[in-house]
Amino acid sequence: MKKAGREKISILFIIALIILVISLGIIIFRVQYGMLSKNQIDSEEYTYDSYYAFIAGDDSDFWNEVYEGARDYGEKDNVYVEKFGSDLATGYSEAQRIEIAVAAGVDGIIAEGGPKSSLKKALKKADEAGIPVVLVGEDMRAIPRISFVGVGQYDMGEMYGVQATALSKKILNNKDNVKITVLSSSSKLTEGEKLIISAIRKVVSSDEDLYGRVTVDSYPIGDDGLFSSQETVYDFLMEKDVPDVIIALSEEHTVSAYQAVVDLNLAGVCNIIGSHDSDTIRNAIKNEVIYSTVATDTTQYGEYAIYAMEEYDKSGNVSEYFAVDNIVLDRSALTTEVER
Amino acid sequence: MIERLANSSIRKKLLLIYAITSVVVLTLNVFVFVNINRLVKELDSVFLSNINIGEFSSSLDKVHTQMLGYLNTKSTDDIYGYYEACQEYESQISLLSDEISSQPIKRMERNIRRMSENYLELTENAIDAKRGRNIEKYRNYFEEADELYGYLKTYINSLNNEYFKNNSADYLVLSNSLNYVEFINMFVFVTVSAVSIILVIILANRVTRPLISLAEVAEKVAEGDYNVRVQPVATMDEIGVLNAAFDRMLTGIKQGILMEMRLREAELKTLQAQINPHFLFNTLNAGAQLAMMEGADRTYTYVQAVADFYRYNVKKTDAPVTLSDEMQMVDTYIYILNIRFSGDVGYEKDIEEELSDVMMPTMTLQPIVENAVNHGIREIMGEGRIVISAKSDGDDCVIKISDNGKGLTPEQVDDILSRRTKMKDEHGGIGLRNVMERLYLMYGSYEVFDVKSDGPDMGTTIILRLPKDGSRRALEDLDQGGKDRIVSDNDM
Repeated sequence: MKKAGREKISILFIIALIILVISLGIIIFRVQYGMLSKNQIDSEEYTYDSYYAFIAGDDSDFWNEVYEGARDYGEKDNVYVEKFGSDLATGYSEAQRIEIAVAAGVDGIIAEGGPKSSLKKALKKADEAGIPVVLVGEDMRAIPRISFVGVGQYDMGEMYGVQATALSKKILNNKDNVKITVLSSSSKLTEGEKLIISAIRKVVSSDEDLYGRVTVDSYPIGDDGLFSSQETVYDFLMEKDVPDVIIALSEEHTVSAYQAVVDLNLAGVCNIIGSHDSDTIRNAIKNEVIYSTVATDTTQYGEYAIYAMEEYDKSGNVSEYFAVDNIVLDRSALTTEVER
Repeated sequence: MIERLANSSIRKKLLLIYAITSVVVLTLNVFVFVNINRLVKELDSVFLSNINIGEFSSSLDKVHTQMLGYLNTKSTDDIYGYYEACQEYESQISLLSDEISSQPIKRMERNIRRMSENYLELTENAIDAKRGRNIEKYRNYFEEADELYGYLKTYINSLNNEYFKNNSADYLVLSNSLNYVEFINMFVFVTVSAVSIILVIILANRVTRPLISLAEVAEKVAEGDYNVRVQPVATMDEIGVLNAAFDRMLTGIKQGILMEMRLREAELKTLQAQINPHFLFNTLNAGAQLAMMEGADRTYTYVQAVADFYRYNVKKTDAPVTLSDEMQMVDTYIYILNIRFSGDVGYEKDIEEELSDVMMPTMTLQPIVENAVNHGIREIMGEGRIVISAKSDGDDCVIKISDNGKGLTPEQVDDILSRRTKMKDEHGGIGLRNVMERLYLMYGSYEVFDVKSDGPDMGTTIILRLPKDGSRRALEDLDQGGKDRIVSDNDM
């Protein structure tokens, strides 16, 4: 009887085992299949109310940061901001990307202004298609944009001027004269560059101690084609008359100048006042290769652009100009930041 | 439910084993088939989006080529081709997403859709301008359309790349899944198959084990070993029934053998009893003749009676006798006793005439009377009396042997009826139990014998209820082969 009981238990156990193994197989398959389906769907999907194209002239960290600020701000109001053309197989110019965005019927375009005629043509097409445009970076005349978001170039020049004054005073302790060179984007200065250089000169010359002892000039970088800026800075610093202070107006020029000073062992001889805020630049400030940097609030930049667009969308009117804040980062500012 | 299954027939059990195995195998096959089929379908559809986008791109090319052809030649075929291509392209455009989705692919689809709509409008304008022979206008429209066509092609290629990127990831997962599922399937298949085999072995053992056990017992019985026991089977299937029947049969055989042994014992005793009576009988005969020659009539009668008594004893041991023969034997016995004990035993008989020929086993009534004398009336004060009556009661002949002796207690009555008394009388005669056993062997039941007593000193009555008609046949059967009858009675 005991044996029969054991047998009964064995039979029930075996049947249970069969059911269990098959069930387990089904569950594992389901899980595996579920993972596959999940992979196909990719992630949870959202639908947005509006679609703005963000089109900058280059793919620098600066513009990427501005884009991120714009994207995050738009996200809050269910607006999708796309870095337009970034997912295309072909690298198109800014003007071409604007044309594609117009053809794709976006709800608004945030574009970096510039002097090129193709850009003007593309922006006119946007206007014809009834797509509002917010310009960033550089404003353009005779372009029907709804608003412009940018830094106050003169204010920025004054900030560079203050930095240059302080640095020149230090240098004048050991030398009689100080030579300051502003790295410009081309031999023909843009409106913005002209304003900046003008402001620098004004601030420097207004200081009595520096009067007549400091010269401010400009040197064109990156006018000779692709990848030329770094080579040009290098060549420039290899010349006999190395400036005491270099003022770089872009992130690219700042990093190029920094690398050239290090490579040519000119640290302490040639001082750099840079632009933008990045880890590389901060490290250079800590290492005293870069004296200071004038950084724009990129998040605020992006936010203003979207705000202008939304405001226009809501009311049909928007302020013509939004000025983005700038800050100066030098060694003491970084130390304070770390302490804080 | 398990109990019910256990008691169901072997056929059902075997069918159940087959059904369980089949269901398991079927389930396994379905499981494997469904899994593989599902994945293969998925695998088939992985690059479907790439195929579709390829067709979409071809449609766009067709629109552009047809437009270009018409603008070049203004051919009717081209314009028809253009409209056909536009229709096809529009139908494909309508399948694209139009949402501003968080998914890049859907956003790209939306942009392509919008760009395509613009492109078609431009081509339409170009075609219209061509019809109106406005060269400047249709050139401009064409240039714009051509430019947009270039952008569109890039966008479609980019979308294709995105699809390919996603599909490749899917394919990789699917490919891994396929290997994984193959392993799962193999594991499930091997495990379940192994377990099923064990299940079948257990179930088959369960069904065949009692049969094997029964065969072993049967083999021993065939070899002459009757002291074996059949293993009890809990189930009530054919094997359970066979087992129980075999068990009963074995018990019957054992009882039959026991009965045969007892009969042989009885025969031996009877044979032993015959040795002395023969000598005694001849001696008594000689004594009787001497008495007759000497003129001693009473002695002659007495010795003759004693000789008759023993002759009866010696005459037939197995053969049945009539009631009158038995009564004559009782008469002789009472006569002898009365001579021995100076007429102490009073004796009456009341036998219906028609019952004289009723057949019964020999030496049935005398031992009962002897028992009544020895245990009943010998120890009482006053005259002992024995009354024998034989009455007809339906198909039975009821014989009563009553005495006025010391009677029996209910316990004693119970002992006699339960056959707890000795086979042999302590006075050397044949005991009541011997009579009962022989009656049982004859009639196949102890019911023919009964004892009644109202208690101590209230006398005893032995009642024999013998079948009138069946008696002869039963006795004849006994005469011819009583042993066979015993066995067959036990079987009933």
